[in-house]
Amino acid sequence: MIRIQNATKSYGEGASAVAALRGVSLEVPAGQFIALMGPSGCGKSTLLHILGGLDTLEKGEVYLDQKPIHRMKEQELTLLRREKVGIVFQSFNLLPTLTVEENVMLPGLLAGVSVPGGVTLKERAAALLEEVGLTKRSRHMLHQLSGGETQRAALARALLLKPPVLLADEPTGNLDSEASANVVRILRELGRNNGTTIVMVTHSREVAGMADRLVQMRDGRVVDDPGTECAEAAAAS
Amino acid sequence: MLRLFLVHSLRYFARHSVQTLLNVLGVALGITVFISIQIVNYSAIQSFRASVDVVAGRANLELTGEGIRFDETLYTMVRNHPDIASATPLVEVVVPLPDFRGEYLQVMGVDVFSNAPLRSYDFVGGQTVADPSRAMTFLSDPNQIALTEPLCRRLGLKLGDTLRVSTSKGPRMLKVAFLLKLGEDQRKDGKARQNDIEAGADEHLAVMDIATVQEVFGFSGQLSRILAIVREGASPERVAAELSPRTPANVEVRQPDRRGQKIERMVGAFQLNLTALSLVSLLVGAFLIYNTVATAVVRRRTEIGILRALGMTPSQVRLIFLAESLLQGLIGVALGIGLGIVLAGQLIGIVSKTISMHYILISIQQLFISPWSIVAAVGLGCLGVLIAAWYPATEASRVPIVQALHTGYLREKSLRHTRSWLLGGVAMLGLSVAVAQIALRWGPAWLSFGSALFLLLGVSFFVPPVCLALSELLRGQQVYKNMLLDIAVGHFGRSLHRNSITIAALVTAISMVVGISTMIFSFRKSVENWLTQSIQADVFLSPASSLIGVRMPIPKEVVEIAQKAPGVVAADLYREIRIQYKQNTVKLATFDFTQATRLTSLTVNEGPSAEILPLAAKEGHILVSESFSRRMKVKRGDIIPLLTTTGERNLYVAGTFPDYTSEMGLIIVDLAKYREWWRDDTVNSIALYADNDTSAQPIQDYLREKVAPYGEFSIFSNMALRFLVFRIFDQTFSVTYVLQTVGIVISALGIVLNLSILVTERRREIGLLRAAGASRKQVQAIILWEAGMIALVGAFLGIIAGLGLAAVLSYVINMSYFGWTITWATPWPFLLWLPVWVIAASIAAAYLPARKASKINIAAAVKQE
Repeated sequence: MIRIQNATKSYGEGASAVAALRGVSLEVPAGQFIALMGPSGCGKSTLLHILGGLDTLEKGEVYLDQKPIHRMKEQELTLLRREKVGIVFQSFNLLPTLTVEENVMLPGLLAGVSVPGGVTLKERAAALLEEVGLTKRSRHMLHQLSGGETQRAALARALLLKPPVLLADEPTGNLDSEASANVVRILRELGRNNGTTIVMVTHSREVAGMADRLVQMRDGRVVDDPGTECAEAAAAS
Repeated sequence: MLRLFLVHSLRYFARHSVQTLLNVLGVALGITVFISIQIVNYSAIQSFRASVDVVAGRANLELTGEGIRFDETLYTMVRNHPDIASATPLVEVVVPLPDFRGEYLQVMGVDVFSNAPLRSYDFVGGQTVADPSRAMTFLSDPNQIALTEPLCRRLGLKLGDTLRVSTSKGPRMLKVAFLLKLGEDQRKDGKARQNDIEAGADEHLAVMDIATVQEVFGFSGQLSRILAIVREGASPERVAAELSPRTPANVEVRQPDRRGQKIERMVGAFQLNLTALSLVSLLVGAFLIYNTVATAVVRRRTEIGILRALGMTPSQVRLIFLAESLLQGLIGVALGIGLGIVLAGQLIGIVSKTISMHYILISIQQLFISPWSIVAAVGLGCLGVLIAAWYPATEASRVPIVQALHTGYLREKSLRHTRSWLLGGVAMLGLSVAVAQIALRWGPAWLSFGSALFLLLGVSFFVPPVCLALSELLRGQQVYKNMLLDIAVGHFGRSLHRNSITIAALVTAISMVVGISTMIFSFRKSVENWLTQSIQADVFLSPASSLIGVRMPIPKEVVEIAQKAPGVVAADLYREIRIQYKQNTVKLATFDFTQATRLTSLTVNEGPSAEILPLAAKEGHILVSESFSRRMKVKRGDIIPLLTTTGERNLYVAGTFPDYTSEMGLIIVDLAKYREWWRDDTVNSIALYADNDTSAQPIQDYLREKVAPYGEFSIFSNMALRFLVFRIFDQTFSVTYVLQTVGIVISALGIVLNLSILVTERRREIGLLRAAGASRKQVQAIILWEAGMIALVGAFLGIIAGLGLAAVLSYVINMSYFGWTITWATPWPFLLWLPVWVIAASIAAAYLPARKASKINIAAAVKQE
């Protein structure tokens, strides 16, 4: 589903340039839930942004569903974000001027497309809100919600158009442990139910433990990846 | 999706209501000024047209002497033309009402027999339309008059009342016998229909019997006009062409609507100038919009990031910002149109007086709102908003998503390219000069406004580099020991992207104030110098009606009394008429050249007046004003054709002279020649010279006593006349003061808006300052210092731009449209005080944002990011 080869990216210019990714390679099969862990500045969020078409690579290749993201133009990247990727942020990033339901429906309204499966946007939003336990909050404004509820709304929004890939950038960073566990549980269940590939960046070992696979990063490199070991072992045998 | 974004935008506006309100007000005020000027201009033209329609009735041909009456025998000739179905003679006279200060009647002397098929008014006695035969009573009693119902109501007159009017033979009492119903059409069955009501026609119109008017006002055997209807199937143009050769040279045969067009041309330049000035306010409003949208881009960068991350395209982002600006703009335009109508009601009196004084007697009875001016206001408002919002909206669409989702971006961004701004400014100034040259040399005249626009834009481009230079200068020098000022300078330097636009708006408003004030100041000084040279008599006498723009002749008896008054050594008789020259209405004045040479020091540009004027009197030469010379491209030595009552004459131009009485252009001719060629010995005013032992006062007292039986007269001393001239001068420019004030108000709104935005942007920083121990007063002081710096730069550049604008107004726009000679004069005290006022006003405007800053919740502000 996702294939990253030798991804390299730095910020700034000349002597003040900081390398964010130093030749990262990674493969994620369809439907897998992986967690990226590592200290601040190790490049995990940059990697997530590149997968979501939010940022571009300097060097290397990234394929999503065998499509080369690294060669895509702005218009194609916009389409990628609409159709293939759902994103959940640490700071929720919902629009405070819209209700919960309106926020969830937003990607569908922007794309101007219907939900795969023949249901209307409203029905799909209602179903998702029920799954994340926010049916009663659908008409509320964001300031009336708790942190956990807001993140669950963001999760519903990310899954509205049934994207094959869900990217979550520290989705529990602003939540207490109970709310965190709740959000990740829902994330995993919804992912499984929809066959979604999930890449989650987190600092929490507990949260990471709920993923299928844990990838460790440091200084812009992957330093520990059981997936690679399995692949190497398989190749050796 | 549209509904959702509308809801989203409205909720955003509600959350930032003050900013939205200021924004809407900025656009609204700009539109207010624009639309009010449009309405006033349009109302003036419509009122005039309506009055022309009432007077001309259903005539499709008229013969007119353009202010000079002609022999009534012409009427028989016209009536007997085979293609004339009906014709009626008309005598027109403007009559002051001495019992009602400033009031007058535009009396039409009509022939009740022949005018029935042509007239578009009716006589009403009481509530019902009068039997047409009752109009015959005009003939039975020569002292009867029909007045309009609105005028009667306003003056408290009713049917049967008597009314005192001034005539050249003294006051006369007239009886209000009928009311005039304007615009009603009398059908053959006697029932009135209201299909062509001349709404807005001058309420001062009055009707009397033609013979009575001729007798009472001394025009026996003379007519002002002949109105005619051409037989069906015949062409009015052809009939006009046939009649023309058989009429005296000064009588024009034409279709009545052409009269309206001439007037529109005459006042066109005056109205265009008001329109152009009103557009400056719109420009100031556009700066405000730019600032708001740019602010929204910064404030909503996270939102932009979210939307882009969710799949919104860059063009959709731009569209959202443009649509939101347009929404605010439309609300502003709607509000502005409403306010504009109110302002127009206030301005109409001033404009009406100015037009009456300088161009043609007009009384605007009601506001006319042209649908086109509404379309223009909506169009200009929306276009201005979209142009202003385009750049920041495009910036928004280009925000990189990852950076947008993180704070701190964009704030310091926009002013890195100061060199480009500098070069852009120089290029704009270059364009301003080039456009001015083109306008002056080859035209068209309206291009001269382009020169002013490029000048304003050019100076606005200099704002960012000047701000940057100032902040770096202050930072580098450490000339101050005030920590709060230190922080304020730091803020000022870091917020150039925001401050620059506010300052540009302020510069535009100040430059308008300085430009117009300096031009008016220079103009006033030039007029003052001219008055000193040309007005040297001690006492001036003219009919009182001249104060309301009505030119009445002075009775011969009064002329004689004035000439023989004790202590008077000489009297200058002055007569002024309007004539046509190359399809333009110009003034022609006459006085005794030889005497003028002896008594005054009239300037002739081409040589000593003491030689040129006596020669001109002897040889029958004329002299033309500088404005006439420039507009008509006539110079000394040229021979120009002039239509006189005795035929066309080719007259030699002996010289040019400065004049400030008419932008239409003035021709002067010696009194003796005038009387010979125009066969007119009336006088409009007399200038009296006292002997060395007599002061003006006893002469004035003597005249007041002696001329009283002959009507109402204005008798001025030299100083009082100068005072009057400047009162008229100031009245002419009073509308521009309103326009300037609105511009200043808009830019003050800009300062409030700007500082409110900066306070919001710096919430965290202010919170940190407060956490570190800064008091509320200190936080307020920082914001006020910054407001002071904004005002200082604004005033500095505004004055420079304003002086440039004054030069463009005086030497480009004036020369293109009016041709006045304006000698530059700088109003130093005004310019020196201006920065003080601007800084004080800015600090006052900054008070609310400063208070807001000082009251923020420290914990929340520190936690915010």
